[in-house]
Amino acid sequence: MKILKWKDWGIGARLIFITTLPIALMFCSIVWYSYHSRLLEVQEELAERGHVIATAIADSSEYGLTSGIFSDLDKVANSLVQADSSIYQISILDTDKHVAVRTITTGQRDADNRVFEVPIRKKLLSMDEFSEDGTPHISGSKEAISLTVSDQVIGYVRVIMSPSNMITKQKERFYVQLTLISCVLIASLFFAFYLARNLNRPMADSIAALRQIRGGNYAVHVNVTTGGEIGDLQSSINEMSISLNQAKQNLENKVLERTKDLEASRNDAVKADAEKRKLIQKMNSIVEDERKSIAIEIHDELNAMLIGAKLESQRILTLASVVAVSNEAEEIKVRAQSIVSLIKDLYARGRAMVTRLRPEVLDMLGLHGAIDEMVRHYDVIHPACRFEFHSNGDFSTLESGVAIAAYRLTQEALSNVVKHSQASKASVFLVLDHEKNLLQLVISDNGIGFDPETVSSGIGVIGMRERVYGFNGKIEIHSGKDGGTEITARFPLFQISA
Amino acid sequence: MPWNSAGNAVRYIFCRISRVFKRISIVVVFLILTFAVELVRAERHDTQSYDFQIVTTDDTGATKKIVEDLLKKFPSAQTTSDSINRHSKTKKTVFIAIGPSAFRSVLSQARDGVIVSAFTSSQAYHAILESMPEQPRTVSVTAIYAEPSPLLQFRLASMLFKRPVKVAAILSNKTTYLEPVLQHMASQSRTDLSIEYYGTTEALNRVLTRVADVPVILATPDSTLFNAENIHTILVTTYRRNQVVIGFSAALVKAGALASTYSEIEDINAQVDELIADYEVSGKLAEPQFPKYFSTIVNENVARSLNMVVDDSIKNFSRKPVVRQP
Repeated sequence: MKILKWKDWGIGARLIFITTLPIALMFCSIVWYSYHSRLLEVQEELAERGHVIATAIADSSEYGLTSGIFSDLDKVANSLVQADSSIYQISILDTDKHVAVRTITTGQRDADNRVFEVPIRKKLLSMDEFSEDGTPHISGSKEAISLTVSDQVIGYVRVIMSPSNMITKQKERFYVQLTLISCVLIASLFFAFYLARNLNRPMADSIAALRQIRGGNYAVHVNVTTGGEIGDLQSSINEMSISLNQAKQNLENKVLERTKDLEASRNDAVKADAEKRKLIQKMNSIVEDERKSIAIEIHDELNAMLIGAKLESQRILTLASVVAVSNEAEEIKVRAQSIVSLIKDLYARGRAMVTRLRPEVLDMLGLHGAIDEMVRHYDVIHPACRFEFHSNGDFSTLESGVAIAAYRLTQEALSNVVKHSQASKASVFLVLDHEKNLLQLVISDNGIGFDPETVSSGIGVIGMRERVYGFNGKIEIHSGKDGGTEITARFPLFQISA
Repeated sequence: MPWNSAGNAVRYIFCRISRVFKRISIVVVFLILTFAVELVRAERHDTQSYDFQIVTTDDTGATKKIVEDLLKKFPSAQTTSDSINRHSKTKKTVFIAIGPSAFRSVLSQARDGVIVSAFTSSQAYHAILESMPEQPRTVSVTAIYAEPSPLLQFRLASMLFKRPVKVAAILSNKTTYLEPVLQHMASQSRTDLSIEYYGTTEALNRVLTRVADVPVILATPDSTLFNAENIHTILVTTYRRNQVVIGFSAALVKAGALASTYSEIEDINAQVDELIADYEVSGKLAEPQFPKYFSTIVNENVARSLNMVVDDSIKNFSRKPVVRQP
């Protein structure tokens, strides 16, 4: 069936088809026409010859029939039958169609089924008969005379032809013609194959060259082996390969130059990125250090002073209790009590500020304990939302900067949950993968979500990115308007060198 | 020649002289007769004692040519067709009928005068005469037949065979009148004549078989026998039997007869002229006669086929009228 898909044929096959199809059709048509025309020719020639023979015999039989001397007719008929192998039988009949002469061939011939019968008519010689009426009789008249045939029938000639010999001859001629035509067909086929081969070879070379060019090898050369369109194609391929080679060289040079530029730019970017990371890390470190310093100041100085003020207030309260009861004493007592309460409150706020500035819980409980404490705290103070914490891994060897960054990121994320998500459930997953040297932090909620594209520029998100980026980590934020938010941060355990 | 004596020599000289005188006298007599005829003719044409009417019934080219030639001989002649002119009571009218139809027409209309039938075969002439009702005629009739004279045909046959030869003539009931004529002429020409009769109910082949052993067949105008249907068969049959057919016209020779004498229009007209001249001189109308001026035609192909040698004497066998000086 593949051969029927002519659209997939090669040029050689098409050329052979184009070359041989008309010849094959012509061969078939000529053979068919020749065979049938020869048969028809035999029939027509038989008919014509039969009629001619019958007419000729009829023309020459008048004397024999009128004189009754049939021997001459018999001789003529015999001679004709013996001389002409296409005659099967000759009969000469009288007016009553009684056979006067009949001659049948003695050879092995088949009789045709047609009978050619021609009447024998009496001939009239028109001339001046010197009759009793009419024009003057002139014995010296040079007027032309004519032999005409009258309507009076004096007999019939019946001829039956035999097609055997003519068919045999025509068959021999047909076979000769068939042989010649077959030779021509075979020669044409050879010529077609020769042409196809001559066309196919340079085409194959050209296609191979084009494939090499398509494969990137532009340094190809096709030998121009022929003229015409194929030669033009081969020349064009050579010119194209030269042009492409030159274009490739130019492009490679440009690419090389651009690559150098890009490498330089990349190096600059990498360098800038490293510097940026280092700067961020440094800034975070400075911020944390400053926070730590402020927290220590608040814890050591402010809280100590608040404790002193509390003790003083409690002394005033004690003293006020031992003095006489008076309005003033009572007022002092109330005010002292108020001061004590105020100091306690300030102390608590101071403690909270210390905690926020310097999560000392990190130092005491480590990252796992700090986040656990934070989650529990949020769960307590925000009953509308349930907070969960899950962890896996040993976080004791975790570098403090990473721990602070992870803690701050968790702190910011949970703050956002409380502030914006309207979530009823929030989870924190903390995993330390030693095999991958990776700390992974996942904070998710079932809140209303947000569009990261519009919210990504917010201070909180930027701060989270900056913290992760500063430790060469990666952060992914997945959220949508349909609800839920998941923030995944991955911190490599080996920090970039400063 | 040996000379025996002087007397013999003198006798020989006298004999030669007498022969010369005889010849001279014959020539002189011929010249005197010719001169006399010319004188009579001149006198005839001067006196104009006859009216001449040339009667035709057709206007074919041949008829026109005949009339044109006749008018040269009879300048005062009137040309009529179909109905003849009423002739004068003082002059006798000579009707020259051109062809059988004209002859029949004149014969039926003329009450007196002379009718000269020309260009009509003897068979047609007799048939027309016989077809006319039997009644006393005051008109004199004669003819110059159209067909060649059998005498000339017999001589032609002898010339062709270079010896007297047997000739067969086939007659029918229409040409029985020819038998004595033929017999007479055959005896004149020393020809062995065989006459066979052909009946209308008889097969043509049968009568031809009866004359199969005769080398020469003389064809005479006879519509019973030599008609369009039979001529071809007769010619083929005689040819196959190696027989010679002497035709009655140049056309028949062209059709396949071996030879024939024939007369041109001028030949017949000349004879008509002579016949009328004789009548004017003698007052006696000549009998119907065959043409005396003639030429000979031979079918060379037939002669070659029959292995016959035709020399120039045969081709030149002819007689032509003396051309009168105007």
